[in-house]
Amino acid sequence: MNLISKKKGEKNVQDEKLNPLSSLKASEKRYVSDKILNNLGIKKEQTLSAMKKFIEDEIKKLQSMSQRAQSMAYFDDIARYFGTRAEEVAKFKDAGGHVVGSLCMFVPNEIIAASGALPLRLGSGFHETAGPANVILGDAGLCPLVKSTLGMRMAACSPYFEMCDLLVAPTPCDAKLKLGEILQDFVPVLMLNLPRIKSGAVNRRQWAEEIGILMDKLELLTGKKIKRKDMKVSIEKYQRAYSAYRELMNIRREADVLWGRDALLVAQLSYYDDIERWTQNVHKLVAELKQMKEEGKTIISDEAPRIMLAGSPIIWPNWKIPDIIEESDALIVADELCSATRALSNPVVVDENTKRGMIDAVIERYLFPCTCPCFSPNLERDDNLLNRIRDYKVQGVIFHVLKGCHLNALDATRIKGILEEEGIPMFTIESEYVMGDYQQIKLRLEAFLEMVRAQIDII
Amino acid sequence: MVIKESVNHVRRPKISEWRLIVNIAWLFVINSVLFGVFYFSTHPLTKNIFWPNLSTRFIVNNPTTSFLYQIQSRFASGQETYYVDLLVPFMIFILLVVILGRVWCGWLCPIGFIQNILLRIRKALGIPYKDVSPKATMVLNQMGYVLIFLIAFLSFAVGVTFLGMHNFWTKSELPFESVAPPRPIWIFLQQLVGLESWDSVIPLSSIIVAILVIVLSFKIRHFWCRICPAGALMSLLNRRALVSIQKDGSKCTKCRICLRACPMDIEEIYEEKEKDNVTHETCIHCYRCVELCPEDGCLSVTFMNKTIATSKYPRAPKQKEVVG
Ligand code: SF4
Ligand code: SF4
Ligand code: SF4
Ligand code: SF4
Ligand code: SF4
Repeated sequence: MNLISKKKGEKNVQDEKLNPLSSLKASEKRYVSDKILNNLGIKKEQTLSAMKKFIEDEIKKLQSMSQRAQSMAYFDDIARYFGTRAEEVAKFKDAGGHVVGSLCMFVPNEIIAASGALPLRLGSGFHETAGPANVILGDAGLCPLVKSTLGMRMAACSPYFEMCDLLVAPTPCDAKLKLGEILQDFVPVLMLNLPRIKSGAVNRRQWAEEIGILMDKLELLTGKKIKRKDMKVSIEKYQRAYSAYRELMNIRREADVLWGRDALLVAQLSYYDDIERWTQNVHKLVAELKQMKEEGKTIISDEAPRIMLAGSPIIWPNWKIPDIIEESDALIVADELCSATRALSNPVVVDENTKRGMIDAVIERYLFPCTCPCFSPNLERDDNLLNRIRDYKVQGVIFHVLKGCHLNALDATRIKGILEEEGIPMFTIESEYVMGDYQQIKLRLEAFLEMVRAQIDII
Repeated sequence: MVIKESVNHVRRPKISEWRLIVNIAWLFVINSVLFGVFYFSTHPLTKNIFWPNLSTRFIVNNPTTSFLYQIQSRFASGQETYYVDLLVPFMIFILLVVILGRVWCGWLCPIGFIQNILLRIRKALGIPYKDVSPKATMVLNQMGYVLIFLIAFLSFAVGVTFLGMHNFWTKSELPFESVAPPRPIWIFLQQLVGLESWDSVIPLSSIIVAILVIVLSFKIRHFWCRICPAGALMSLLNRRALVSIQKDGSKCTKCRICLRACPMDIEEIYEEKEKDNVTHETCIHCYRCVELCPEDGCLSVTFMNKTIATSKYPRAPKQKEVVG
């Protein structure tokens, strides 16, 4: 859709001819030829069963948490990556539906859903698949999230990835930029050129144009025009989802009735669950938690340090860090992860219910209020953190940095200084996907939590 | 299965609806434009009421005029009085604007009301508005000051007899009144309801301007308010008014929702992080920004430091019940 007026004859930034994706077919293999892939000798079955085991182990851990809400059972079910949800998506696809995957939080689900396609956020938390990617990339220092996601596709281990008709890849950082490029060897990819300096009208126009191209591609894919009504229905669907999640946050603020790990899981399942059913189940969970609050139940003692988790995304089932924190008798009361609360906290607010008005609202929502470290300056992130610390009475911040994520590492440095001034202890922890660093991280986190406890005792 | 939503809907301030109601009420009761309360226009106490906002003299039973009219008529009536008779209206103007700022615009002005209606019609028809670039916005806003200058200067010239200007303008056709859009608009409406006879004279120039204003205000949000001289006069005091928009910068996510919602395209409302008072000169106090800002307590309307309305996280739209 042409969102801004163009001079006559002027072409889109991604000219149809220059862009091999216009035909919506994968391009020639440039990085991972079939030969390389065969030589790698990936054992798909073994990897798959390892992944399944990883999930089951993690779910067992979650189920053993004390006083855990009953309604989480639904989410446990969806959390089985290869389970019922994968079958549902397959059914949808068999019935002629289109599946569109996205690689970061900047892709407007509202627009994908309006086109009639099913939006799935794909990002892998499996350490098992990082290996094969490591071999061909020749850059061991690359962010493990990107390695794992690429490996997942190389090993053909994700049912969702396999079903994607189109992959939308924004370019917030070097790793994601190249991930999108390399994935073109497997699936049609639409790269979105994300402006990284949010200075106003110019970037807005650039981003609007990118989203315009996305809409064109979606219409091409589904063979149907996105209408005003479609936009309205889809926006409202997500508004309800956001508002349900907001309720969940509110109840966490009022009482210690929900484990942080559960909250992270709930948020994350909105990535690939049916969004309406997800919303209903969040409401159920909130109702149960309210009940617990009224009965005066809590899941953990009042003395437990109240921790906020910030930094690089933590993707299911890689619950290493949240597990360590909560198994050390601390409670994650809030988070600032783009893989959880940050992805669900800024609502789309429509001023005028015209098609343009709605598209504008979506476009702006997926750029301006985002506090991803890929932006400069990113001062809203500091305010956002401080507000959350105040609202949730946070006593310590654990800032998670995925090894190789320069953006978050640098933001951590800045934020540490700011929190120090406020007297809030912050600890930066760097982690990999592999489990090798488990013990070391555990030791260091426990030491930090001890320090927080000591500080609470003084007060 | 229908699950009851646990959302305890915090009612968002429905500012736009209130604004429409106040607009209509003020129009009928105070400006008494359409039905014309006779008493108003004849009683000596009420017949000279004027407000800071735009209005017009030439309407049946409309007692209220604009301060702009006062300036024109005092200037045009000649230099014999040394213009001291302007002093009292001037003080009244300052007082009214200091109390309410440009609430006169957003909530009480009949021309602002018409533009509000045009905006709503366009919205209902699903027609997008035309964007105005920040630069154009600035230029338009400055046109208002140029218009004030022209109005004052021309009326003054009319009043000074030796310039001979009064030969061109009769006393009843003050410079701005011959082009101001309210006159033809309201006379036409009154003709429709039978208050005014169809052969009352309206200057052709003002008819052309009025049609232009209506067409442009349909496509561009509050187009006339951007160049309105009455608005420009009030804007000088808008920041110092007792009514103001306050912002808690630490809560602002710079999401630009307020900017998108602002019919006057005021960038400062979203850009400002430091200052508390974010009432811009050109702000017409419609409070659409406060209504739509999704951050709890980020933007608020205050009157003498008392909070009247404040921004809230939006309510989720109701789900239509799924059949089956
Ligand atoms: S930190 Fe930013 S770029 Fe990285 S995954 Fe999150 S939203 Fe995407
Ligand atoms: S975690 Fe950091 S390096 Fe990895 S994809 Fe996100 S922003 Fe890029
Ligand atoms: S600026 Fe608009 S609302 Fe204000 S007086 Fe002028 S026409 Fe009326
Ligand atoms: S709508 Fe509110 S949060 Fe968004 S930019 Fe405006 S003031 Fe800031
Ligand atoms: S700043 Fe707010 S109150 Fe003022 S004109 Fe814009 S939307 Fe209306």
